[in-house]
Amino acid sequence: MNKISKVSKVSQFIKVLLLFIAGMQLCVYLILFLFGTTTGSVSEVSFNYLGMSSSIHVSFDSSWQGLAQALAEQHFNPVFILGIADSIPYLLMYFFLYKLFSLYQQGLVFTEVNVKYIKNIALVFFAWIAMNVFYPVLVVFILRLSGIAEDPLPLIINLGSTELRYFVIGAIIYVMAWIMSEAIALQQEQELVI
Amino acid sequence: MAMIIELDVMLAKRKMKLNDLAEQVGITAQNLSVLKSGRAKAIRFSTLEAICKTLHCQPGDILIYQENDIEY
Repeated sequence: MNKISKVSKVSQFIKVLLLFIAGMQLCVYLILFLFGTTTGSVSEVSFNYLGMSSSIHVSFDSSWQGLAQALAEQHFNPVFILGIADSIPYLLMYFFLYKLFSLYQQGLVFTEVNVKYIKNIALVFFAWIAMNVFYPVLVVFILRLSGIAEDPLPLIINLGSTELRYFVIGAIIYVMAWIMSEAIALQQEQELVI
Repeated sequence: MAMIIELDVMLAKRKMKLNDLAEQVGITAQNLSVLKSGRAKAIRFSTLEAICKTLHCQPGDILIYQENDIEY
């Protein structure tokens, strides 16, 4: 088995894994939205069956924690309002990774399309930062303007280490895609050396 | 481009086909076609030497430098 067919086999496995993870994530949000109980910034569902107990839960991290608590206090469902938005970057990333590994599976390792998907993954990280910062503000504005909220919800703008981490990861991935693009240009030029 | 490839002229002079030259030089006809059409970015000395040896000519018979009349 040569190296490309090994890459192809592993890519196929990773694709299945990505579909499984994306499916699991969607199922968790759906179950929590339908049956979950929210305490503070944690939504949870517990199962008790034949003396065995298990649970699934989603907790919103530091940047969205305050808003999730405030929403729960005012009887809103934070899983619905924040959970959907929180899962979008993950799903986008799984989608681009799936497309990228589909190319690897076909044996297309260094092409312009690969570079495009890697750049898109980096852009998802940058969009994630914008969403982390502005989405809570947008939610609060909509709820305040529509007058649904009983008490005024706190306006939280959070720019912390999570966003910095996303920026660094996104920048590294973008630069790697850039280098790969240059490598493809060199390869194409090399092909025209007779 | 300022470099003109006159491989087709030399092939006509020697009454040789592109495929035959490719076979004798040891490169693919496709690559030789790229060279003939002027799409090549560079030529290796080894390739040039093999072409000159096969066609019994000098590098200057194949590669001609032409100054561009229009300046940008």
